[in-house]
Amino acid sequence: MKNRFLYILPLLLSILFISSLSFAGSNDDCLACHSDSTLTMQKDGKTISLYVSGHVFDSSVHGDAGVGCTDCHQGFSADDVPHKQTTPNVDCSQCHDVKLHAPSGAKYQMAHSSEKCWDCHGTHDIESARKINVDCKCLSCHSAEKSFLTSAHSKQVIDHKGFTCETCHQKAHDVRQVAVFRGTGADTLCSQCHKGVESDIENGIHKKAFADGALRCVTCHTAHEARISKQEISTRACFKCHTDRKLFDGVNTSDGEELTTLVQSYSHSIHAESLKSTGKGATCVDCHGSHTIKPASDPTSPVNRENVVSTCGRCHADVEKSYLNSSHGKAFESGIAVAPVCTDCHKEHSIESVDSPNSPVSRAREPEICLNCHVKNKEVLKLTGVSAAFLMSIRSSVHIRSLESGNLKAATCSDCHGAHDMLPAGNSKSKVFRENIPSTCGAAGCHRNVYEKYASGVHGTALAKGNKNVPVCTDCHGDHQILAPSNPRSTVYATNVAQSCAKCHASVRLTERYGLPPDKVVSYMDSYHGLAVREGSTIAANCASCHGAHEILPSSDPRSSINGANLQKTCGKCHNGASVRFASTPVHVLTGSKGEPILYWLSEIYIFLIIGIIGLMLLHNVLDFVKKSRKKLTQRRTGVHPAEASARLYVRMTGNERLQHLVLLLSFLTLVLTGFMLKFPDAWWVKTMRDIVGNGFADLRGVIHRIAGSVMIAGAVYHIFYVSFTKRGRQFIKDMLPKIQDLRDAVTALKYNIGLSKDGPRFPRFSYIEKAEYWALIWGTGVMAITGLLLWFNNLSLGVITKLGLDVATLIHYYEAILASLAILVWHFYSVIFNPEVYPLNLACIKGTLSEEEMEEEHPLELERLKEAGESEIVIENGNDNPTPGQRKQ
Amino acid sequence: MDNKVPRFSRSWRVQHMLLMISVLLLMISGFSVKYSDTLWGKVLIFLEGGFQARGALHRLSAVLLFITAVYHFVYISVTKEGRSEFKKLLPNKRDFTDLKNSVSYDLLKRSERPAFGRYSYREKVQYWAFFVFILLMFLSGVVLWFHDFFFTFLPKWAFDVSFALHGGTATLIILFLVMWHLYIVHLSPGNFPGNSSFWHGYVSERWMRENHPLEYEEMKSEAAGKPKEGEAD
Repeated sequence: MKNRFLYILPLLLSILFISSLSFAGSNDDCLACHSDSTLTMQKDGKTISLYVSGHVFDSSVHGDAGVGCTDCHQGFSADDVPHKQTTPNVDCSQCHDVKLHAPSGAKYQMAHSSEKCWDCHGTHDIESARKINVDCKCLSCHSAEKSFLTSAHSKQVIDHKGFTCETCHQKAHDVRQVAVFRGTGADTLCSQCHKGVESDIENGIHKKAFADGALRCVTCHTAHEARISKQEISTRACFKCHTDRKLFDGVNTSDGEELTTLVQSYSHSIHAESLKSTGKGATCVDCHGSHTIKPASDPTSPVNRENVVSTCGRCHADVEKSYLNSSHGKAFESGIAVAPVCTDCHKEHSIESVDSPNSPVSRAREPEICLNCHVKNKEVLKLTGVSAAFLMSIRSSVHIRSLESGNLKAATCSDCHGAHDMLPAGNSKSKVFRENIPSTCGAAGCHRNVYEKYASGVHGTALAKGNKNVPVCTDCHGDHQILAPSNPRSTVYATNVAQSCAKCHASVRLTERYGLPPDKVVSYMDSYHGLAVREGSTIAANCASCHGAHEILPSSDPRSSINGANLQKTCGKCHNGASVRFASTPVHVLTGSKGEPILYWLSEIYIFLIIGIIGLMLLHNVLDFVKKSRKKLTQRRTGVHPAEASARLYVRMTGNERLQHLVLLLSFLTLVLTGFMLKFPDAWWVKTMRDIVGNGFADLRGVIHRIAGSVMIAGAVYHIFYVSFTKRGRQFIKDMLPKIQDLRDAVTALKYNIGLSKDGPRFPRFSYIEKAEYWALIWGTGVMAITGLLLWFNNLSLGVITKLGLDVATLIHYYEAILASLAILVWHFYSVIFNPEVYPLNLACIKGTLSEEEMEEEHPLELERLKEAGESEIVIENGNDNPTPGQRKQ
Repeated sequence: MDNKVPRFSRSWRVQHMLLMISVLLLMISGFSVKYSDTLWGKVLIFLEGGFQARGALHRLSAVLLFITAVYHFVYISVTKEGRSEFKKLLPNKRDFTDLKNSVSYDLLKRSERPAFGRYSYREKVQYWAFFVFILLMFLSGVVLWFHDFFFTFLPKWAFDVSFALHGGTATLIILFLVMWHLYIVHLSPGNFPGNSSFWHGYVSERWMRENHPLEYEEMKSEAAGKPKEGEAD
């Protein structure tokens, strides 16, 4: 409309020009003076140029239309030069009907109401309105909006697509104040070009704010710039409102976190960081969408739980693919609600690099987030079918402990199970599928060196051939609860190794299937090594000490540590006396098997001896017991007791002898206890002792046994000295020598006890019972001392007597111990304790004396001899410190 | 001088014998099933004629024990002798002081043993412990024996309790027998190698004087009052 006015203008002006022609001079008249560029005037103390370029005016709109100078500059005498009157302001409204004021009563104001026409249009160089627009003359005043020049809209201007300031700000003269302008709905304005955006916004969560005017297009896009860089979307657009605590006061997420905090946490995320440093990275709109933003609860929202995977997958396509093939992805796809999606592990706004310690899936924090679902969520537990205890046991594993102590190289969940591609152990593609485990732990994992050894060992090569029975890493080390070999609870701790190996090597099924020697474990367990390990020794050899741990090879392999050529070296690790000769006889021996004839017959002979000797002793004593008991019982029943005994006491054992007996007694009992503790490590009383003593049990037991052995040998040496060099000692050994009479006495005793003879034998100082006991003791001490010393100083002996010799010594030491213990129990304890004549105890070993009554009963010949010898042998008579028999009898 | 004196009547001795036989049979047939995985357990089951026969033997012995118990109740309620014996077995305050004094005598803090009557606290503990044991074993045993009947109205835990009680009490009984009864009658130095009065009923006067002085005095004064031979009690 205004444009049309421009064409009418020259016509109107020419009419005015013709009517006033007679009163004014021509333009040339004016320019005669005003073309002088030095022409000036003084006004208000300022020098004002009065120069007018005729060329510029002629090419202006007015010049083109033939408007004369005086058409605008009126009210002065043209003829007076210089003009005396001051020229009044030019009044454009004479020709141009343009109003810059808002009509009276209007609720708005015009933006340019105080401006002059020439402020925009210029004076003599007046231009067409279109040119003003296109050249952005507006910016000469509105310089703050220069960003418009780089805006998307500016490009339209430059391309002459018709977009000018006026496109948004109304027609030139009707420019309204910005505040007013906004109130009239700029969005309607934007949507004139940007069709569909308005309805897009109204479909989303911003609908209400948009309708209220709280949110406008320019809120996010800004007005003149009308463009927002990717980097600034969060900070300049979304954060403006979404981190404002006043706006979102009391709005919390479902986790109870403040919404503003949640949004703000994006600034530290890997997306924000990456955007800053590389220009690539997701912003708010990449996940939430731009104009149509829907709440996460809306099923069509890209950040709805159901859509998160595909939303993230837009950038992380590879991860999405492996996730969808994983157990998690499959569960998610099949509609299992507890299956995790990206955000469940990585979080949402605060998503950080897995290398950041703050990430919930950082190496250190990964176990926590995995266990959070896999242990605490009952539904997940049910789906996976493993126990919470099994899963939790990972916490005590060497991996997680090490991780928690700050070693980020230690394995975390995803190292073994995979992260996005995790699969259950039963799936043959899983990293924790049994046959893939060596590769997971070793080849592709951390334990590369171990893997190489394993792979070249007998187990690894069999696995490579497809044998499914060979152990993989987890069979020996455990799966979740992998403990350091130094941990006593570890399955590969020194004392537990044998049990781990025994799982297969003592299995009937496996040893039969692969033709493995079935008795290796049993023979080890019964060997000294096995017994020491069973009682808790960590020094004694276990399976791995000789066979190696990972690189186990058959003895036929020349590289094997148990190959004949290497045995001396292997045994020599502990036994520096091991010789080639030592290693020439079998190592794993079973005493009960006929494959080892020497050991077999030795043990047979010993068992025969034990049963025979102890059996005869028992029979002998039962007969004696019955006879003496009947006598006692008859006395009680009939009330006929022997006459009160005299209080005379006779020396039986001197102080020296009693001391020898005490040393023997203590060392013998200690040896029996500590010896059988080794042989029967699983007996309840041994277990109890082991629990009480704790870790050092094995060493302590061994030390005590050796001390007691030394004490006993010292006692024996002293005894030899005593019987050789003292008068009483020589007499002792003389009285102790066996005689034919002893055999006669034994026969008499037997006859008497079974009732064939009326009178029993009359014994001298030592009866056949005591002689048998003494000489058996001498024999036993000798045998035990020799075999014991061979075993003790095996480093010296094993080079000479070979492994077989050591086995023989072990066997004899054991069986002789049984024989001696039983002999003491059955023979000696009967004589001095359970014998009804002396019950509850023969006090001679403590007091050193026997009463006349006891002497008469047990050693009548000796009593006679003493009486004949005279008073000298009778030492105490009615000693006050000795209770007379019967005083304290109950 | 010393004379034999009667201690246990024939009825007492028969009861003891029945109790001894039934409890011994119950123990070997019971523990052999509890420890059937041990060597001696297997040997015992074999000796008892296999697993089925073992069960029959156990139940048969239980019936014998039950009959003995019934016999005993009749004895202590109907017969004059039984009522008198039972009265003497009832615990009283004196037993506690006797126990205290006996312990201080054993610890050498007293020079003299307390004087006991016919039944000291030792015998009373034996009697009443067995009384309670047999009651427990009978009640739990009946539930286990007739479980099909009891299942109709008892909850499972009643069965479990009976099972635990039966095994636990059995262990207690065998320990009690060895540590208390067998010690007293066999291993205590005054009785070693055994006190045979359970068989013939007599003890020596000296034994009586040492172990039951009060009864001995009573017997003496009774004998003085009535020149008749002393009765069983």
